[in-house]
Amino acid sequence: MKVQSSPYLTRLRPVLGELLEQLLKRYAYASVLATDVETKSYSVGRSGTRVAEIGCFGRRGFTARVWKDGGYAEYSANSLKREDIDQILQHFETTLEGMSRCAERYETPMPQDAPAFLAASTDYGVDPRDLGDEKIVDRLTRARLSGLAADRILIECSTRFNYQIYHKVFLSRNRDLEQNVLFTDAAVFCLARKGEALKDGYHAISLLGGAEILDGLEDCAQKALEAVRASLSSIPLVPGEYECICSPEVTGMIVHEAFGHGVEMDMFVKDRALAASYMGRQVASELVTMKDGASTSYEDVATFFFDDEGNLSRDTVIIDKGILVSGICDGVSAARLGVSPTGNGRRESVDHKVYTRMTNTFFTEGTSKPEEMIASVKDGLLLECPTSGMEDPKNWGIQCMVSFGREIRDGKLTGRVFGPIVLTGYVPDLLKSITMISDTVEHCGAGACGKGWKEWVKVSDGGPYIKARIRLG
Amino acid sequence: MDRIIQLLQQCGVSVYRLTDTLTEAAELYFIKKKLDIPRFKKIEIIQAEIFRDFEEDGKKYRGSTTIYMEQGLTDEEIVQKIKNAYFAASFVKNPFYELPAPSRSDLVPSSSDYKDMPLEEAAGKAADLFLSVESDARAFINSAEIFVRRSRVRILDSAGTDVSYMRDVLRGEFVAQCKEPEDVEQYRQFSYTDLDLASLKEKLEEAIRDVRLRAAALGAPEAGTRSVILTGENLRELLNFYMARSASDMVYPGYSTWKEGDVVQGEDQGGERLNLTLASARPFSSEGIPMRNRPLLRDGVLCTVHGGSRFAHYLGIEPTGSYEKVLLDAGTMSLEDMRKTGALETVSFSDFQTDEMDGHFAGEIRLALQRGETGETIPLTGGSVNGSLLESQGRMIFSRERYRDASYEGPLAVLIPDVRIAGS
Repeated sequence: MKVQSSPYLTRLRPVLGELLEQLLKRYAYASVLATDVETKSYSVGRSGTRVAEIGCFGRRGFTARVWKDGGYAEYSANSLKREDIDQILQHFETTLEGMSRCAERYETPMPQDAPAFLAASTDYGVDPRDLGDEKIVDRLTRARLSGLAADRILIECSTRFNYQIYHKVFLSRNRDLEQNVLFTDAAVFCLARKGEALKDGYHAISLLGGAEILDGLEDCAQKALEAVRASLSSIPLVPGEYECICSPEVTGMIVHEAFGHGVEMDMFVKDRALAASYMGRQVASELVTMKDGASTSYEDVATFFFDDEGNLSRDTVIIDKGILVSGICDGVSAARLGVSPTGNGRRESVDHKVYTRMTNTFFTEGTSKPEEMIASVKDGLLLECPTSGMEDPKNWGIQCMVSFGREIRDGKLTGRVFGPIVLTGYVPDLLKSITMISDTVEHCGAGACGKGWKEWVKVSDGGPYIKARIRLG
Repeated sequence: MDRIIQLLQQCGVSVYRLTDTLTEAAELYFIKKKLDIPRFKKIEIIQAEIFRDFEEDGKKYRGSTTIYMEQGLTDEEIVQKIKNAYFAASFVKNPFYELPAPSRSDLVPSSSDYKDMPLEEAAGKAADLFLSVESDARAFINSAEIFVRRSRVRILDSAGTDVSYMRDVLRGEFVAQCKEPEDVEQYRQFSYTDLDLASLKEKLEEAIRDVRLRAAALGAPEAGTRSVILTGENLRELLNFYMARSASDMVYPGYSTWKEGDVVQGEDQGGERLNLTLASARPFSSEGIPMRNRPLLRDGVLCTVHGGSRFAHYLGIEPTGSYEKVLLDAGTMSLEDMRKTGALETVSFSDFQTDEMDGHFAGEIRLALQRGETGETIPLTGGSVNGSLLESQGRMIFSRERYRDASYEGPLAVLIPDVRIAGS
């Protein structure tokens, strides 16, 4: 089934059109983005049950953008009535004009506005609203109790489910775009005590779709339980460089944090990305191909039809057989750099600024089997359960953390577990050291990505198992 | 609010809490000294927590759900949202608890020193500072984001609470860049409730100084186990462990076994005992509970389990509201004396984190300083620190020098022995 249009945005269209018309009388370029977002989060745990709308990622609202004499300005609000239009125009002409005079403007060409008309929706199996709160809470409760019963070591097995249905309308002089998207995610979080410390295990799944994702909860609980068992038996690792097999989740974190942020081209504009000087050069093993895109074949939570600047989504090849061939770009940065936007201009919500952001980002598959890869390791680790990562576009330093690594000796898992582990080093060194890539890809978008420490947007990442040499601490 | 209360009553909802937050913000984004984009926004959101009381097998429950409403919603849409939320609350089978004791106040004005200034003017003053900071072609501010926000918050519930206050926050982030000998950067955030341009200037100058050092860094520190100095916001991050472990939402489900009177800092192993105070950063909590400073730890002993009304009711303790700021009363050694011990002074990380579950702390080093044999300062970059607060907390020594931002006031630095370093 297709996600239906928002009655609110349908009702608002004439007012949006009037606002745009008034702005276009005063500015060479103007656009209006309006959103209607419905989100709900469910969780069940020892603290109780929680059902609530999600406060971030926005609700209803609009952003108006104008361009004049080489500079942009934006005004956002979450209420728009016909009688507000004069006040909005006044904000542009007085407040924002005044703010523009605080410094010399960053001279920017007018954004691309080639004609585009689109109304598109994603598919889903089960509408969470039709499934209903009672059944969703019941599914989460049953998965929780089943998880707790599986092992007496657990002091917690909490479960959660989120859905987000968003509708966006983008209008400019030459564009009229509408999209309606539904995605969901679910997770299980297990906790056990080890002395004074608590050890956790977590597994999450995501879907461009509806509540049918709940069918995967039991498997999710099993994986979270395996993770907490491994964490409980983990011991500190002697820092050093190790031969590693990265699970698809860890590969995804490396793809996203270590390399993906570095090819966000708003960082090129600011001279904050080393990747700008590596275009056309080898940055990874020739086994590596990396993609990003809201319209790639790997559909997930960051699949959409146009971005928050009205640019149609694309499938971008970033690394092609080890060679860095392209970055990803929002519209304003594209205008500044003289390139085409790639549909990666995204806002946390309608009242936030646009930045270049990743969507679904991943390494493509190789030809090896995971078991062959483990068998090829003389003395190393299988890294699992990523917990966090931080980008360093300027210097390609790696900071990624995983809960644990399983020891591999003479091609076999020994049962010894080390953790928690910090991955550090220089990104191209790691990527060039990749010698094997598995033949299947897994991806997940259960979390959110920040630009630095803010501006959260939903993304997915993933890839195959990879074999590489990594500095671990 | 009156319209929503009417509609709540019309839907049969008798227990509720409404929080109306109107935020206006002026935002300036810079690339070097040029203005990237100015933005202005006005957002009003009403958060409604809708409660539903019910009984099963003689036991009382209070379910709740949270919804958000904007000005543009029609009465029909609001009624539908309320009805859905009230229905959903019947599946939230949480043991009964009381709403906080009623609290009433007139509008509490902002304590900020720029509370009467137009937001765009305050943003302009902060921008002037960024544009005038001392720099050169080699080391400069690469980019900056300045947000000046003013919020009016009103919290009202069906038990009689009706409080409101104004709050101003100047916050943002910037990146300092040094082009030579290595082209590197340093990221910094700032957050002040005053237009504290003096502190911001100091932060800008420190960032320029640090980025010059990072540009000259000589590689990663030597791998091994040694003493480490953490400073500023990284020290604050370490203290999150104590804030989180003493919170009622960690204590009630049994994630934390801490209770008032427990020695939670572990055995005294020659370090300083912790004296932490929960500091109120706003006049009322999100539930309308009047906020005041409260002792958290005294000499390493837990004094207060803190948090909102629900878990406080279950635990039989006073609800305090949730705190975002902490004060630390400690500091016996000068930073200079710490450096003389040969400890690795970490200045910045890519992302320093403390795990509130197991006390593990770690981060990849962006800049660290090492005192050389002849007293010179050697800048280093790369590698990581990886330690356990549970193992180290009895041996921490704090600096006499002080640090202050919107979430922490206390010693600038802490000396922690025996931390694992991954490096060269």
